[in-house]
Amino acid sequence: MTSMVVNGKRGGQSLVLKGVDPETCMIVFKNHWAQVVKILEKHDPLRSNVGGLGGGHGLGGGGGLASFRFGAIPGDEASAVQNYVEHMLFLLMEEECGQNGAMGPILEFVVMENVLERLFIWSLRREFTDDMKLEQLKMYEMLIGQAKQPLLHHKPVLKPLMMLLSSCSGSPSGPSSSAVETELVLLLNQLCCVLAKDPSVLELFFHTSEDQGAANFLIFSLLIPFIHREGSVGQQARDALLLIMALSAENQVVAKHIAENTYFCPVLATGLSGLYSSLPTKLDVPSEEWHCLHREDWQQLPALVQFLNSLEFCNAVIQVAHPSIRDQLVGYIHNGFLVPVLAPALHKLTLEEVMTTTAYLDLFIRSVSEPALLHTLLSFILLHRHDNVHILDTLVSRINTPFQLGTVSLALFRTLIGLHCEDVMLQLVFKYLIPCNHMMLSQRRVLRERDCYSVSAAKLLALTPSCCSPEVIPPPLRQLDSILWSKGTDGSHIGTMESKEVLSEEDDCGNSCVIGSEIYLDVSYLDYLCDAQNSISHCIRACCVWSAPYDGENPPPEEYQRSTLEEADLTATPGLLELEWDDSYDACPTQPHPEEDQETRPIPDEPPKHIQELRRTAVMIVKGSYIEESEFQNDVMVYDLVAQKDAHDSGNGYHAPSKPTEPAKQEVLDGPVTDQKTANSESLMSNGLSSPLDEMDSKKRGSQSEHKSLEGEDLMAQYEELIRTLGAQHSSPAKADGELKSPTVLMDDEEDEIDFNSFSPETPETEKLPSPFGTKPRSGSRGHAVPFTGPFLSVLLSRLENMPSNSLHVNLLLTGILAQLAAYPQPLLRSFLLNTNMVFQPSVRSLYQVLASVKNQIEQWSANNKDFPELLTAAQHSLLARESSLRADRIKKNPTIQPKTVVPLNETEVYATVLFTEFLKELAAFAQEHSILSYPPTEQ
Amino acid sequence: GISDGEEQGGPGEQRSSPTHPPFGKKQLPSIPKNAVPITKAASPASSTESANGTHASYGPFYLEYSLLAEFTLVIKQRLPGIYVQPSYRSTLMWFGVIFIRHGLYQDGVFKFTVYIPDNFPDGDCPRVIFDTPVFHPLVDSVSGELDVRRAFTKWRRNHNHIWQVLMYARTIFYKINTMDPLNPEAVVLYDKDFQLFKSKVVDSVKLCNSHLFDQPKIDDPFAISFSPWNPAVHEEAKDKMFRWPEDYNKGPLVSGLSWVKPGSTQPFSKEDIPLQT
Repeated sequence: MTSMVVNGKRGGQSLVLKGVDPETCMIVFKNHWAQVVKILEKHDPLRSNVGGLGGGHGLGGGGGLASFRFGAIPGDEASAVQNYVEHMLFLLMEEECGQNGAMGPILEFVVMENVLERLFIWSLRREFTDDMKLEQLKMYEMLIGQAKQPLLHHKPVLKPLMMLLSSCSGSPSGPSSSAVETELVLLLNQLCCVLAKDPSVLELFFHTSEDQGAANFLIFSLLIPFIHREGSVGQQARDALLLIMALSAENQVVAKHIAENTYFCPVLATGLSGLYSSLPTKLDVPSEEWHCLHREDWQQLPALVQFLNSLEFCNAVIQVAHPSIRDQLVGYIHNGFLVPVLAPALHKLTLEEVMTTTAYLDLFIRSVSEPALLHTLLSFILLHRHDNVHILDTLVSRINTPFQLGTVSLALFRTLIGLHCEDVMLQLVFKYLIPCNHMMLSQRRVLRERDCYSVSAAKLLALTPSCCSPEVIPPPLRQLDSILWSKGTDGSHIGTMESKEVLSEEDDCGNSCVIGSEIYLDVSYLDYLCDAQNSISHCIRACCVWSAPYDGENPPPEEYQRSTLEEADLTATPGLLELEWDDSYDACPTQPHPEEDQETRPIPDEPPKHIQELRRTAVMIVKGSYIEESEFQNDVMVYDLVAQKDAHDSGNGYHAPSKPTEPAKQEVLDGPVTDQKTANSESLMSNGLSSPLDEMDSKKRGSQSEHKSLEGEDLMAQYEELIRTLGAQHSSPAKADGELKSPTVLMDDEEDEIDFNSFSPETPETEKLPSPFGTKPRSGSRGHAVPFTGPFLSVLLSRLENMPSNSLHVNLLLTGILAQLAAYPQPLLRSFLLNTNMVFQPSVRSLYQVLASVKNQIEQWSANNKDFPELLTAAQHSLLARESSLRADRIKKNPTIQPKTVVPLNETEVYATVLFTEFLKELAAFAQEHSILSYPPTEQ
Repeated sequence: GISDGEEQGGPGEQRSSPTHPPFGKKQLPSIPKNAVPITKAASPASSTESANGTHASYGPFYLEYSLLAEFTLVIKQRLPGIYVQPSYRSTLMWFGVIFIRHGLYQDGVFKFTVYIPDNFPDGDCPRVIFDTPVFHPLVDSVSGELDVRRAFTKWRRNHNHIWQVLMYARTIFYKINTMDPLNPEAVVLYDKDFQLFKSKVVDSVKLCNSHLFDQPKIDDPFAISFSPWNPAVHEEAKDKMFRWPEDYNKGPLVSGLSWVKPGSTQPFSKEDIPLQT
């Protein structure tokens, strides 16, 4: 009925009113009111006692609502009142202000006669049903929204409104209907809008609340229950709350009230925990390529949408609210959500759960923008310890996990590095580079030098595999273009320049090197240069807020060598054994801590429980493992070996790496794993043994674990045993083929070549196993601090070294992250990644060394595969098609033409080769752009 | 030759390539315009050629960036009274102008061009040629070429930089050196009749300044050209110059994050952050 009033009659009514003079309106209003009063008084329970006209005002102190209700009110009288009231409201709304902002006569009458309060009591007199509430709520909504003069300043208007609101909050008959809630929130939102426009009303709201016996900010308290509500009601409530938050920034009373007398912050923060608990604990991963939650992904998950809405709201509150509210909220989020909920979730028992939590964490970080909230999230990651292990260390150690957890972790780090946050970069990278232990002492002074002559770029580009040399690539793909190379020799008075058009090799005097006027340039390289310039200058500007330049002088290396930094760190960094999955140290055959540390520090008998569990489930995943998991400290080694064994058991030697989708591997996946339905097979394969390289890898890890393992001797014995059996098994089919030579991994020529015959049964001892890294400290070097660039860089480089066997998307992530790092202008990092002339300590693997190793793997591979060039061309076409389809996706869904021959994605070497070549260009471009960018004045 | 630790590393057979000067004369085979691209797979044996290939395709980038790096160094030096600008057509040619603020050549405004050899930084030293031959013992009275070589007998990469040449070109006007002159007449006057020398210098300065508003000698969009003050043209440019530092910071707002207290290497060591324990 009321809605009909609100929506239907209003238009007509106001039209009618237009020509009518105010006096007539006043007369009509009074008339209506007189009629209403008649009916009201007829049913006034107090009338007989008091007898006066205005006697029934006020609710009285403790009188329950029910006490007013006696005797049924006939329906015709109720609707008569309603009809009159409708007309009266229109008259009130349409009334203009009086002169000088005085009340118009109708409003004055309303105030004098206390019309609204009496109407509210009337509605209480009748059954105070949801319909009644709705009617009243809509009445006020209309009045506040459409009245032409301010109403809320008048207590006789405000008071009944507050009574109505409190009756909605304290409804004894259980929760109100959703219609009432919707209307209530709408009205509250409207009131907040009025507050935002006219803060002077605020005072009145507080005072009126006090009249009600509770010194609370009723509007605000009523909104709190709707904070986490989904849909438009929740959105409206949050918008309204934000208006109040903005008010709080300027109004100390409001801020103090919210912080001290309301549950706003706890509700908000613990609400996050509640919403988080309803998120799926395992995600249905769409494909093996998947590694982070994009908008398309999370929009499919209503629970996640709701969580993000609330998180976004927290972000907004922190942005606008008073610092006291901000600090309180941030504290509750840390203590009420991150620590009790997210930390355990990051240490769940199964890979899928942990992976899912990691993806959520990544999404959360990407979803917030307020520094204070980022501060909370980041300090949780960097400083919080779960089971005595820093979250960050756990996350870093997971980069090297097989399965999708590794790539999801990589994606998280991509996000973290993209924040340009000094604290993050300090913990991940700079902490380890500041002491300058990773380089030769003499190199410190060249740390800041720029590569004036693009020497590093040239060295990087010279690693281009021969099969990918710009001239070998057939025309459609090779982006060579002839560019007019003018030498600016217009000045005819310059003698030597006259020969410029001549194509000739010149004399020895070096005076006039003559080149052709046209040269073929790799024009795609121009794009890399352009991108590099943008990334670097963006990064430079972002890093302006950092505390130090990290240039090898500030912070001073001496102060952080061993004594201070590392000791400070001892308590902070967990022992290796506590890190799950960790073989991140493999890339650098050293330990971050000298042996003494490990010996003096009490090492727990067993790793934390969650790690044991995780390990157990992981081992269960791999079918038919004949190795007791407890015998190994190094999980990844377990994976490698078990996967190898499986491959052999099914009768397929690993010698056919060009066909990685062998049944053997399928079988590995079809095992008990199947609840993990998606093909994270790829990541298992990529980590597992599609090439003999991996065996070397595991060998490497094996000898590595010697350092790590407490029961190293036992472990090594078992390991060798395993290697021996494997070696014996696989050598026969290889020999039968009579074709496959033991592939070798070419290291830099000063290092030993790997002879895979050493895996034969005759030479099982470790001593005879050549180390892939000639300089690796053997047992003798235990107990000495060995230069180390930190687990993060090490693990990145170690994964990069496996580029040929990594799947495409892993390589895209890896190279992407390294490119992000390469954009950082800090000389410590820049010189480590891009200065190919730096001399590092022998135990430190540089990016350049790793790239050289990848190049050699590729050269080997291409030399042994006749159809490599064709595959390579096809892969380049596939990648180009992929890129254009991604681009088309962004604009509109438009199916793009597929290349004729599609190279299967499991031909990882082929894709890796293409990617490697492009990555070299990308890095070279970074090196060149760093050399010419003018840094901010601070560098002066 | 080869210098400065270029010889470390380099995997095996590839070693030969990067150690060569990036733009050395032997490094850059002339590529016939209509060369047929090789489509066959390269055997390992061809890898050295391929390294050359990389050089042929990227060599010009190395040269370009070497020169840009030199230019960046010049800017960083903030040489007093010297302005240079690479030409539009080639980074191997820079236009410049020197303002002499005191001494014998006071009020002189000398335009010049720097020519950089295209095997930079492994070739000869750059040449500096004044647009109008200044009367000076070290400046050729016909060609206007400055004797740069006396200061840079051998151009050494990493040690010699173009800003030094520019600095040298300025210094000669403040401190006259009469040894082995390119302009013997000037030296004779300098030694024998200093007054005449001085008046010849004054004449030369006048002559140079009288040609100030001439069209640039080399037709290039980036050539330095002077014109009388014209508010319609110059006022705006001047304003822009004075506003530069503000404009520079106005770019799209990007801010990184840092809660590290200066002087500390502990994350979240700044104090003015919300406590959360």
